[in-house]
Amino acid sequence: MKVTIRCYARFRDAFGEEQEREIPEGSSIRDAVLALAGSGPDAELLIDAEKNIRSYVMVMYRDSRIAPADADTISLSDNDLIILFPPVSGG
Amino acid sequence: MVIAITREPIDPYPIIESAKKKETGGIVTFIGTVRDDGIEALSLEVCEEVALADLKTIGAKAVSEYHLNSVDIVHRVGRMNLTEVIVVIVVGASHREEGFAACAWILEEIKTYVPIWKKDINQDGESWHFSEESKN
Repeated sequence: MKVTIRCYARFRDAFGEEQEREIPEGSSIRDAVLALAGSGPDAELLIDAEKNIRSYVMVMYRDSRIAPADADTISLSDNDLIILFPPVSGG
Repeated sequence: MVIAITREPIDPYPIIESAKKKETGGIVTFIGTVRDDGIEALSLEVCEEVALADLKTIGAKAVSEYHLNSVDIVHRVGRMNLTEVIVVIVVGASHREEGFAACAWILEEIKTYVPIWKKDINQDGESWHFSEESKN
């Protein structure tokens, strides 16, 4: 199935504004983020040594914020959109 | 309640003026400006759809929890020069304690999770503010 991942700010500079990834049916948000991160030098921005999404990454899915620790428990559907925010710095 | 994200310069004074109400005994205002940290300018990026919804939620929650008479939050994005206004928070309360507490709380909420990002611009290039603490 195909999912789209949209990134902002520093994550956009590293991974592009909007990327599509082909991932197996039943894949989770974590699987999609792993597919985006790849194995390049910027992967560690999103993923720690245990291949988990870093705690500072804000994940938006279907208008809700998803805790990185829960990203493995949510299965995606074809054509889903995931949004990744780096740590914010407004105000 | 004025809750807005703008790319234009912010004039805080009309916002403060509009907060004057008979039942309000104090208007607490926070004006965030571009500080010279060795930069030429600041550029702010936003996920506007989410950020605007977040600001509305924060404003409504502040009114409810601090018993405010009014809340206005205007945040600027785009490129800003030194001393320009980044954000204005205007809180109208019956009493000062609620006003000061609410204004501080609103700012901390914005800094904690509203999707807005600062990027320094200087002669050497550009660099994002990026803290792994998720709050800076």
